[in-house]
Amino acid sequence: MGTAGVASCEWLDARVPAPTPPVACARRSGSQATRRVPGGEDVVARARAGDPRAFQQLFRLHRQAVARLAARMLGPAQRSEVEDLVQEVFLQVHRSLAEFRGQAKFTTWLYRITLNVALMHRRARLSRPQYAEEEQGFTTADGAPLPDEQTARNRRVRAFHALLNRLSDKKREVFILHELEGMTPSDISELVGAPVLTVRTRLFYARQELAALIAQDPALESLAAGFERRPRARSSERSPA
Amino acid sequence: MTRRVNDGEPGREALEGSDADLRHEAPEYSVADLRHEAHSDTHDSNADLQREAPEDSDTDPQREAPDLDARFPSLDPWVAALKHEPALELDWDSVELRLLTELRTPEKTAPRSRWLRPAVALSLAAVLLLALGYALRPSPIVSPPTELVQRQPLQGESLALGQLLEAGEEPLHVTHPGLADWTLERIHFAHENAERAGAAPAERSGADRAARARLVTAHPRVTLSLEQGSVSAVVVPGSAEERFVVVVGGTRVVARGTELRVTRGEGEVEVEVTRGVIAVGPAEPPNREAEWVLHAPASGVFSLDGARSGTRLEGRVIAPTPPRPAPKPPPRAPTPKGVSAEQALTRVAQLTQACFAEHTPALGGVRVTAEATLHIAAGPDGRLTWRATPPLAPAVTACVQGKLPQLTISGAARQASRRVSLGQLTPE
Repeated sequence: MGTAGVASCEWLDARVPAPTPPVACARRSGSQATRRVPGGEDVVARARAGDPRAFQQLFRLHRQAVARLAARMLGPAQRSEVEDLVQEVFLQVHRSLAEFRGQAKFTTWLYRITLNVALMHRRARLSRPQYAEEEQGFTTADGAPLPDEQTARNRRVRAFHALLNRLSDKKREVFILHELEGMTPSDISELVGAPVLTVRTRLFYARQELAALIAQDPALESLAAGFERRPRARSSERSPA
Repeated sequence: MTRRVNDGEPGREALEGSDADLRHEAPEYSVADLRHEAHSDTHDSNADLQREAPEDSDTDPQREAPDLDARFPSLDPWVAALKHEPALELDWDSVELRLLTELRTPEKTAPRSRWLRPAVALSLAAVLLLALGYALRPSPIVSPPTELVQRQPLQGESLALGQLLEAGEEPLHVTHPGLADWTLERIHFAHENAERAGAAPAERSGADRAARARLVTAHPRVTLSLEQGSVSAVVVPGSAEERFVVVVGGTRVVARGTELRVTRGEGEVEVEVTRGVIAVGPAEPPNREAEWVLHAPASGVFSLDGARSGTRLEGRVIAPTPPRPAPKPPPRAPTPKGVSAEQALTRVAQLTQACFAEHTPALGGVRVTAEATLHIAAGPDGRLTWRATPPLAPAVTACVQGKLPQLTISGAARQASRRVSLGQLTPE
């Protein structure tokens, strides 16, 4: 997931946009995305025509973004779970590719499939018996415990995922797409098939609910205190523009 | 409100604030707009406000709409933490391979289109034909559509049964967790044994061709049909009698927990076991009596006709149990000796006399006599038949019948009759 940004911008074009927020790349270049990968424009068309190599290329272009979105939608997930989900997404893409008419961006269509698959997977997961989650012993490759800061960070991530899981699916997906994936409300609007205002409304209530949940949960205070101890340099990165 | 920060992805710069996005992307939606739309009964944003935020279900059209650009600073560090979450390291090769393997199965590749139903119908027909062909197959090896899989590693459970696997330059590794790991590869057998045996170059040319095998069964026994090349395997020992089987022509190699290598040559199969025990015998039908047993380290070259012959045997190799000699047929009853009709009649008359004397009740000094005509004849098989006129007492008749000698009448005369006097002097 971590390397998707650069790769996606490299092949970004109007018909086959990047899996990472197009906004990021477009704004970086100061205009509409203009960088194209030779032959990238017709990858989708070739895949639709049944070219297995083109489909393979599509998979390799978009897998990172799909995996990242899937992992965020699932919340804390095992590697194998995300792998299964990515596989299922691309299976559905393959099945439905003939129906893709190019009226929307391919990534919009792909993200929509990813969201649907992730939601179905979440619902299936919730319907299964849930076992008490043990505190995972975060370890490094050599088996030694991670530094305290890393452990605390992991705990915060898990705690926030738990908060996200308390949102409704619609609010959760809008929040993740906007706050974590960096998509604009208009992009999200196209993705989820709702008016922009509806997207903004969901986003507002998602934020409001999360803020309330954080305020209500005293257990989060100790975790939140860790933010205060974080390096100031990072805080300065987040200073208002 | 929420600030985007660099999420640690190389080349990805900090994004603009989301509030700026909101203003930029939807400048036409001001709070006034929202109020306006919230008053509309039909606009689904109003419905969303009520449906999506049940805690605000008391949303009153008269109530002031929320400021959608409101900031919640307490969220910022949490969002940042989530964005800094390191990406999961996925095994992309494995995912891609599984995906492509899935796509190769017919039900996964059927596109949704107007041709879907005919395609499904045709697929069903094809499946039925395949099933019929499978049921009528002369050997257990199915012949499905050819598949070329050269990437690896492969999970055995992801392979379709009957799928043709091929290994070119790179060997193909397949894992069946808990059962066996096996590798399909081209013959590197600059083939020592073949060279030793002076095999013709044409025979060794198989080394230049890709290795090919089909997976016939995957559980609880892995069965491969080796069409070309070489299979080496490490089989997990277990309770099952046969955990890994390689069928080569009419010969099959069975392992129950061992390390082995099976190489198909021209008209022969070379088997080498480096650990454990394997058996080599006929494939159809399997016959343990006809199996060669190789105890590691051992090797041998066997014919493809069910391993009827084994050559170049090295190490501890136990040949099949030789077939037992056919059991001797039970001795046939001696054929009764042929006699003439007159001779047979004389013996029957004597027997009748004896039986009459034996079964005639004693009447206190009274001599009982009887006269009758005895008839004998040869049946279709030459055997003797007998009767008396008038009929004798049942006890006498039964006695004669029970003691009638197994005689065969030979000669031209096939029957004879004689009048006899039967009688005895009962004791005083």
